[in-house]
Formats: sequence, structure tokens, C-alpha cells
Amino acid sequence: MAITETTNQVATGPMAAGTRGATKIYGDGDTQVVALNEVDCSFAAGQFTAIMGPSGSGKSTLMHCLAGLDRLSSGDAYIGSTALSQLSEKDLTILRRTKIGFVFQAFNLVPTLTALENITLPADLGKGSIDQAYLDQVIKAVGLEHRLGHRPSELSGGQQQRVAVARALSSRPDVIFADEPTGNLDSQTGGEILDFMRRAVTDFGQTIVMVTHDPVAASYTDRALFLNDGRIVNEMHEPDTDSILAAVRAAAQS
Amino acid sequence: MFRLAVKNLAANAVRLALTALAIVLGVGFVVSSFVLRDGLKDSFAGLSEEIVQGTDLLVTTFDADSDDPLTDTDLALLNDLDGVRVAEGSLSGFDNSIQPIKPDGTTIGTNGPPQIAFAWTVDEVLNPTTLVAGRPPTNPMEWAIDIDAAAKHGFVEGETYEFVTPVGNRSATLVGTFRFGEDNTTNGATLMAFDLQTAREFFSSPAGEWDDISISIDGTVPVPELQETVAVTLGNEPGSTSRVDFDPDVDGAEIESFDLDDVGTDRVLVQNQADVAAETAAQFNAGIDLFGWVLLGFALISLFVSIFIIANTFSIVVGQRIRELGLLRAIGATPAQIRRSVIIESFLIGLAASVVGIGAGIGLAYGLSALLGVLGIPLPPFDIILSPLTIIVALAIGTVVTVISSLLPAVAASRTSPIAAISGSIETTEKSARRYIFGGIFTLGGAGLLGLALFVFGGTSSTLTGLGVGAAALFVGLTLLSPLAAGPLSRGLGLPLETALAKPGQLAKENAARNPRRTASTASALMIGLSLVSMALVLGASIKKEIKQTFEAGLQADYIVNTQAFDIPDEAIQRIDDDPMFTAVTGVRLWGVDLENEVVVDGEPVDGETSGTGVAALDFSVAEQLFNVGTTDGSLSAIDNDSVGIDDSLADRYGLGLGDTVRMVLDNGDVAELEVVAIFTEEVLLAPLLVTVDRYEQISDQPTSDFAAALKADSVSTADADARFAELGEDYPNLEFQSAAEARETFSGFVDDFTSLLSALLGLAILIALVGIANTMALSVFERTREIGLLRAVGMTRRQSRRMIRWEAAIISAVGAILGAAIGLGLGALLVAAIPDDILSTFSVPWARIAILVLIASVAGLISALLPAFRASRLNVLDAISTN
Repeated sequence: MAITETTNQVATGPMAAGTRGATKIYGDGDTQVVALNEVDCSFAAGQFTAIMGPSGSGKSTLMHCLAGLDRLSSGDAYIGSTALSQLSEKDLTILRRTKIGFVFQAFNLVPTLTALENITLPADLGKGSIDQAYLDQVIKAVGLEHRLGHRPSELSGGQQQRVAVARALSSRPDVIFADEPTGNLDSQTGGEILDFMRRAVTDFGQTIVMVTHDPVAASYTDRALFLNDGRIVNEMHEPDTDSILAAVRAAAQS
Repeated sequence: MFRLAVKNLAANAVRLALTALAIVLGVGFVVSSFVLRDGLKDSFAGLSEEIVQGTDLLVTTFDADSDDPLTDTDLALLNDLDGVRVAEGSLSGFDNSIQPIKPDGTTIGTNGPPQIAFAWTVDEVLNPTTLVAGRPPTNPMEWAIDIDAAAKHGFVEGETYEFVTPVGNRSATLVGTFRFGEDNTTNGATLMAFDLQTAREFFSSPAGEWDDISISIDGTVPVPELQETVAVTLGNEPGSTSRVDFDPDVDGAEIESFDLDDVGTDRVLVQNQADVAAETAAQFNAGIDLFGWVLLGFALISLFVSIFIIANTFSIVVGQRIRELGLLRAIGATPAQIRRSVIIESFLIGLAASVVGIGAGIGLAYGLSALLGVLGIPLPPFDIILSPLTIIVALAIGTVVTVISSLLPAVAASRTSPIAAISGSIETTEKSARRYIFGGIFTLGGAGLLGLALFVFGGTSSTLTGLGVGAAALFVGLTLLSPLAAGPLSRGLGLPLETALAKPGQLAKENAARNPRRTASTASALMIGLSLVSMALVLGASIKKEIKQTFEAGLQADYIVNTQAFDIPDEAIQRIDDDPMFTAVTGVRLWGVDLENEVVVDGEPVDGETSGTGVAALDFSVAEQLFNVGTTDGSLSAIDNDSVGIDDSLADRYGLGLGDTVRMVLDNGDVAELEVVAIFTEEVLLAPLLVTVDRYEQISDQPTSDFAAALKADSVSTADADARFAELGEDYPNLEFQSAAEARETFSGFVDDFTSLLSALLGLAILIALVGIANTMALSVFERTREIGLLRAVGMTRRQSRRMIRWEAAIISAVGAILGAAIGLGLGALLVAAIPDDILSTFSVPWARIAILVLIASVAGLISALLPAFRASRLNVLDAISTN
């Protein structure tokens, strides 16, 4: 797979999420930091995308702004055709609950709730109904049928992440954002989680955007975006570990 | 370590402000009890001095009811002495016994400061009052009033007013107004001066006799010498105890040690100005001190509650700082240093909070004064006096309490392992077994001590100490044990929330139940506060039930004449008696008296034990028509001046039966031997000892009845009787004519007033408990930043997160309230059981009131968490979820 020059190639299929002129500035005056600088990007439905880049490149900021956890200084982020800047705090929350799924690196689960309650949490917070058949399918796919009544403290790290992924999937969101989902796991367990996310895209047509600095993790995706200094500096389709490593090195030298 | 402690304080200002608030309130309450006490004492000390201004020597008999009163002859002898400029006799009425009827037809009322009536003193130096307008009341049927009372109640010079007096209704013309001292500082009392003839009539004072004699000297004879001469002239032995050297530095107690037995054969007491002022002040002070101690008691309860709050806060904070403490340990801090840093931190908080508490206390003094006014105990105006002692006590008590609270958390902090710096685990696993063993020991020990204090200990001080220490130990023990109940209780209480509020409700429930120890510790202060309030409610309900039973079973009268003070003139009772509509009526006078009979235990006399009892005087010719006292032997109608009726408790205590002798100590020190002619079982509204009015007059100078009971003729309708009473009410506006049922409500109302007062005074402890809940919730929100952030990220709205925190606080409060109510029921039952059956034999639980109390406490807990809930909803989701 060759490295392409485009920074704003429109993906195939309808856009699940994206940004236009996304700029995020922290602080002001001398301490001002431009975390995102006029970023345009888009994430096609049914695609698994990795956002990569060194620490401070803006990759987490981009994800936070896309996911409605943070607001842009200028430009806009979209989920489907919804411009997030137009939404009130409450609408953003409801959007997160209904249209977005999250998988974080750690502390993904509410300790007082069981695995099943954690999975259905977004639906339970709203008054949304749960598609039981789909839920059963997801639970079966992550292999948690016998762990549903357990609390997070009774689950292994890998099991906890699987619960998190199952939660993200359970509401059939437009897009799932995953922030270093395997960062705290050993490589084998991490591989299982990535396999599962891959299948969610392939089998269920789920859209996933994953922030990672791990080339191995990125190799499971359909497409990788590279950020540096708040800009998209590169993009790859069907990336493999070696090409990503090369791109990372190139990006670091640029 | 000191610097570390200071830096910690500086870094956590808000958290500390919340911790300190509990101390500020507790210390503030203590300070306000001192400030009120000192202010009132100062106010009355000024009054005491003004009362005797101009009087150089005061002559009194040792007893107001002396067989040998001061007379005109004595007055003449004194006026002839060298060194005496003038001697003048004075007369005063029983407080509130003379009540002027205001232009609006009502009396001033006796619920507030007293109405004091006296004869006008002619000599201007001796007279503590100064005429402001009009002329002095020197002609028959004239009176004057102090300027403030005149203005307040609308009395106008030149008008004639009617008075309710012990001798019946009388009238007199207002001829002047005066001020007392420089600024008419009467502390709210109404002062009324009458001409001598009118005073003698109103006070039933025999001609030629005086209450006491005031002397103004001309300075030619030294005061001590004149004092001795006056005493000897009036019949004292030379060099006898004619002078009581009163030490003004010693409060109230001095007066009591002044015993009739020490006086020997002395006829009179001659005191100089300073001694009179000191004695007067001491009498005021004794009352003020009691008031101060009661307030202080409640303040200490508040502080006790604060200990739990602060200890809980410190242990949560230590838990949250475990990484930091672990780091300190890792880089070489010893456990002792860690411990010290926590204790120093608490010391500094305690000190700072106490300083603020002193300021708060001054404000609280006004607040308490206003509160007591609302509850029917108006305080006279007072100046704020912040004595050095108050400041020292406040600083010491606030600091010590805070340091004590920090001891256990400090020890826990010092046990932090260096590895905690890395693992950073917050939720610590505790050694439960030891906690519960200690809890059990404290609970049983405390309950045992309470039992001993209530049922075994005799003396007042040992009983009070036993109650205080026992209750404290019991509460500590129950707090230690309470986590056992907190978990299941939280889950049970949260169950309906899960249905009503869906996910936020379930999360509130789970959060309240997740750490039963924290929930229990947080709820403990509320538990203690509410247990005391519900104990008071149980006691109140039991007394009310007793009142109800008494009225239903014991009162045969249709009507009760009630009054705020014991001020029913015989004339009013006579008018009812004269009316054919009523078949029986009697006034009832109540008092206390000492008996010299030997106490009998198991049939054997116990040496040297004498004791007092309540006594009632009434008309025994109609007593059995009006009261059903359950006479078992003899008859009430047989009681005459040489006999008494007693109830079964007195009969048991002294081993008395019909025909035996009761030895009753009279006011002049004599002992009357009275034959028992009736034994009864129920006091109804009377007393264990029943005597005639003539006998009563030998033990009390109260000229009026406390209440009266009347029976209407069967043929008379209620409406007619009511109309008749309405007419009487116009002549005696100080009286209330009530049906038996209304009277019962009035008595129950007194009980309600009392429980309200107790609850209000316990209110501050409950407020502190709520501060503690707010504090814990704030700390929990801080601790659960990531969890709340996660919830927000996956779609919990701000509103839902607020709801989750608020309801968690409500559940915690409800846990505390329910446990408190349960403990209060137990304590109330214990107290009722401990009170002798002849005083209180019924037990009643006011379920509805207690349920409302629990509900209010839970809602208050919910409200206390508004701010932490708001903070939770405003958490920055990004900060909350970002790793590290």
C-alpha cells in the first residue's frame, strides 16, 4: 500500500463523521497552543480508521472534538450531517448517548454496575429501547455470556475492555471513538480486542475511529490518518505495520 | 512537617472551609452560650445596682412570713438613730399579682418579663425611680407607671384603670410616669408604684407592717458601726450574724448556703449597699447560670456531633491523598512524620475555625435570643460581652475537638505503604472485625452506663455524668456498628428510586451502598442528632398521653380556669361559686414543701433522708366532685387544717397509713404535724400532698390560685355556661375559661412547646450533620471525577448527574435519620421507664411525627448536596476521562 499525498480524500460511502476547518487553540498570549490547525477530515460509514501521531500532535484533541466531548475554537465537527457547534450541552450529551460509542484506554466501566448494566448504560440513561437480539449477538461475539452479572472489579483487564466495546456497540451508534483501547493490555489480549473491533466493522458495518500510537493496532484498520502539530500530514489506506512504521518515521522527520 | 501541613492547607482551601464549617458552628454555639450568659449577667448586674442606689443599709427579716415582721415601731426607732438621715419602709406585691387592664381590655400577659408592683417611696434619695411627668402617687387610689410601659401599653396620665389583683378587681388613677435609674433599664419589666394605702389593700398588707426598711445615712457614723447599731436596736444579739458578709465574687451558690439554722435567734438581717446589690445580682445570676449551662449542654452536643463529621472528612481526605502520602513514605518520611503532619494540619484548621467560630458565636447569640423569643422565652436586651475566658475556652475546645477528630485518620495515614505511591488504591479494605468488636463494647458499655444512671445512681451530678458519658459511649459504639446496617438500608431505601428515577436512581443507590463504612460515618452525625430529637418526641408524646388519660379518668370538672401565671384571684373564683349555674368550683394552689418524715425502704426507716414533694391546696368540700383521684382510704372531704391527704407514692415512701402523721416543714422553720385522713392513687392535676388553703399560707405567700376547676349544673347548657364565662373574661382578662378538652389541649401545648424548644436547640447539631453530608458528597464527587466523567461521556446529562448525587445524599441522610429515629425510640423508652410511674406511667410513640422528621432530614440531606451535585454536573468531561 502506497503512501498517498492527499490530506483530504473523501472516503467511500456516506460520511459518518468529519470536520471542516477544525481549529482548537488552548490558552492565549505567550502560552497559546494550537492543538488543531484548520483540519478537514471525514470518516466514511462502515470504515475502521486509525488516527496516529506523536504525543502532542493533536490526535486526542481531534477525537474529543469529533465526539462532542470538547468544543472547537473555530471550524466545525460533524456527526452525520449534524454540526456539533450548533448543539447545546444537553443535545450534545444526548448525541453522545445515541449516536456515539466510546472505548477509553482505562476506567471504562462504572464500578458499581454489573457488566450487563455497563453495556446497556447509554440506553438506560436515555429512555431508548434496547434491540435485544442485537444485544445478544454483541454479547455472544465478545464472549461475555457468562460474565454478565459480574462487577468490573471481578473482571480481567481484557474482559473489562470487551465489556467497554460491547457497550459502545450496543446502541448501534453512528460512530465509535476508541482512545488507545489496547494501551493497557498485553499484546495477546489487545489483539483479541482489535480483532473484535475489526469484525464489528466488517460484520456489523460499524464505523470506528481509533486514536492510537501503536502501529500494530493501526494495522487492523482500513485507513490511517497521521497528525503532527495539529495538521493531517499523511493518510494511508489498508495500512500494514511496516508501512505505518515508515510513515511514522517520515512524519517525525518532516 | 509543619511546612508540609501548611502547604496542604493552602492547596485545599475549599475542602478545608467545609471541614472547618462544622467546627465554626460548634464553637459558635459554645461562644454564644457564654456571650448570652455574660451579657445577661451584666445587664442584670446593672439592674441590681440601680435597685439599691440610694439605699445605704437594707433591713429585712430572715423570712417574709416571719411571725415578727418589721413594724412602724421599728421604723420610728431607726429614724431616731444617730447617723440615719431617713429610714423608710417598703412594700411590694408578688410579681404579676397586680395586673392593670390595658385600654384595649386585655392584660399585659405574664409570658414575658414580670409586672412588678410596689408602694411609692417618698424619700427621693431612697426612691430608685425618678418622676418624669405628672405627680407622685401619694393620695389614695393613685398609681404611676414606668415611661416605657406607659408608652408601650397605651396608659395615659389622668385616666382611671382597673386592675386584676389577688383581692379582686380594683381601680386606681394614673397620676404620673417615672423612670427607673438613669435610662429606665427595666429589662422589659413593667414597674407600677401605688400610694401606700392602695398598696396595702392590693397586697393584703396589714397596717403598720413592712416588707423591709431602707436607710439613707447622713455620714456621721461609719457604715459598719451603724449596721451593728441598727441590728441591735431591732433586737439582734450584739455581734451576732446581723451582717452577712457576702462575697460578690462567688456566684449564686452562696445564697443557698445561707441557712436559717445559722441565724440562731437573730431577728433581722442588715446589709450594706454592696451586699444587697451582690445578693440581688447573685439571685439573677443563679437563673442565668442555669440557662447558660443548658445552652452549653446543647452546644457540647453540637461539638460532639462535629467530631464525627471532622473525623470522617479527615479519613476520606487521607484516603484521597494516599498516593501523595505513599510518595512521602517512599522518599523517606517516617510514619511518625506523616502522623504529625496530619495532626498539625488539624490543629491549624481547628485554631482557624475556632477564631471564626468566636465571630459566628456573637451573631449566633442574637440568633438564639431571637429563636428563644419565638419559642416564648423572650430574653431582655443585653450587650455583647466577649470575655477573655470565652475566647480561651472557644479556642481550646475548637482546637482540641479538631485534633481529637484527626487522631484516628492520622494513624491510618501513617500506616500508608510506600507502594501506595504507585498503586494509588483509594478504596481501602478495613479490618472490620476489630471495629465491630469495639463498637459492640462501646454500645453495651454506654447502654449499661445509661441504665445505671437512670435507674441506680442517686445524686444529680453522678446521674448527669453517667447520662453524658453513657450517651457519648453509646453513640460512638453505634457509629462503629452502623456500617452493618448502612449497606442493606441504603439498598432498601434506594430500591424505589431505581424505579422512579431509572439509571441515576440506581447509581445513587449503588453509590450510597458501595462503601457502607463511609455512608455510616457520614450519616452518624445526623443519626445522633435525630436520635436526641426523636427521644424528646417520644417523651413528649408519652407525657401527652399521660395528660390525656389524666383528664379522661381523673377530671370530672367541666371547666378549667387557666392562666399563664398563678394569678387567679379568689374573687373570680367566688363569683363562679356564687353563680347558680355552677354547682362546684375550687381554686387550686400548687407549691413544693419539705417533709421531715423518715424515708422507709422495705419497712425499715432510712436515717437522715428527707425529701420534698409537691403540695396542692384547694376546697375539699367540693374536691371529690371535681377530681377523681382514686381514693383508696379515707376521704378528701375529711381534710382540715390539722390533716392531709397523700398519694400512694408518698404513703409508700414514708410507710404511712391512715391516722399516721406527716411532718411538714413550714416557711418559718416550724414543723406542722398533720394526720393522714385520705390516701389516693391519682394526682390528676393536683399533687401528692393535699393541704388546706390555711396551711398552704404557712408554706407560701402566693395569694392566688394556679388554676381553678368548675362543674356546671346539669340543667345549664354549654352555650349558657360559655356565655357566662365570656362575661367573667371581660372582668378578668388575664384568665382563660376553658372546657376540660380545651384545657387538655393547653397542657398538651406546653409539652409541644417544650419539645419544640428541645428540637430547636438540637437543630444546630443537625445543621452540622448536614454540613457533614455536603462535605462528604463534595469529597466523593472529587474522588469519583473519572467515574462521573465516564458517565457524562457515554451520555449522562448534567441533570441526571446532579440527580444522582443529590439522591445519594438523600439516601445517606435517610439511613442516618432512620437509624437515629430507631435509637431515639429506644432511648425514649428507657427514659420513660426510668421516670417514676406516679409521674409518667404511659409510653407512646409519635409515629407520624417521627416519620415526618425522617422525611425532613432526608430532604434536607438532598438539599445539602445541591452544591456538590452542581459541581459534579459541571465537571470537565475531558479532565475526567483523560488518562492519569
